[in-house]
Amino acid sequence: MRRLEDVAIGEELPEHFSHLDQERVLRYAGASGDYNRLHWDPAFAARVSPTGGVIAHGMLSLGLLSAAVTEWAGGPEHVRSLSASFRAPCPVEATLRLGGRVLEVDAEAATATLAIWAVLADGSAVIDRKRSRAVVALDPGGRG
Amino acid sequence: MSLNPARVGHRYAPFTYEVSREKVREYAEVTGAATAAHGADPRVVPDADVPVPPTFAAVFTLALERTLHADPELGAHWNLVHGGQSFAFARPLRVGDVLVCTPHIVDITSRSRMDILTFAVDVTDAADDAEVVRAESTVIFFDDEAA
Repeated sequence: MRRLEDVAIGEELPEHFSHLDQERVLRYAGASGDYNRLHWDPAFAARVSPTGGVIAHGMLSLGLLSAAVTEWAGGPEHVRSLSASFRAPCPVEATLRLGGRVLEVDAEAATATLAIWAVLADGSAVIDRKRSRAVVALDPGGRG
Repeated sequence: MSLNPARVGHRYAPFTYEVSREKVREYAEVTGAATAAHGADPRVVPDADVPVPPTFAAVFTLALERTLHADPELGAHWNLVHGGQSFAFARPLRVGDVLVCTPHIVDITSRSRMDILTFAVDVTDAADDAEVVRAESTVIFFDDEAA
């Protein structure tokens, strides 16, 4: 668990990169139970996908981002809430850059609010940093 | 085909979900959340010490086949994308939890060629009825039903 006194506004999560290849997307389909053909069937995706091709689950991007937040927080028990706005789909075979930044520290509640994001190699947003947040509980230390 | 706006406010029958160690491991591995505890011998590392990723909640709260797509009055189809998602935790998820999930439709907004549906799932602990997590999802259904 992170200590309240150690967290400053503007602090960033260590940057993570994840390559979302077809195998990972298929494994996510199995792990999550979301078998929508958009994620693995190129012929189906050609007809209905916003990109014209197969796309990764939005929740795979958020799951990867949540893992980065959880690591920073010191465990899932310190993650109070997550919210994400999926700005655009992540094409299968793309690499995501995942990040977060402390926007606010509430000393009374001992929580930090982070903006969180996932972007493609060209910098375009998959998870929109303006509308995506994580709230993490901090250790208030001697303040009780 | 558009969604039926009269379904706003509809609550679906609650269903239960049991958080199992192997499913958590599978999920943690693919989302980059695996720790040594996930692959450990259960005789050495008890269930209580296996971290459940927060977004594991998607596994049971986004079960669209058993909710939206099983509702003949809603008109849901598979030409859709996920627009947004939130989870608010009252407590962390734990291996062994038996959870009661109650989905309901919060809103349906129709735009040209698409319907934006918001639904929430209230999740409580079957053992004591205490709140565990509330999930809210926004799903965009495109009218052009190529699916």
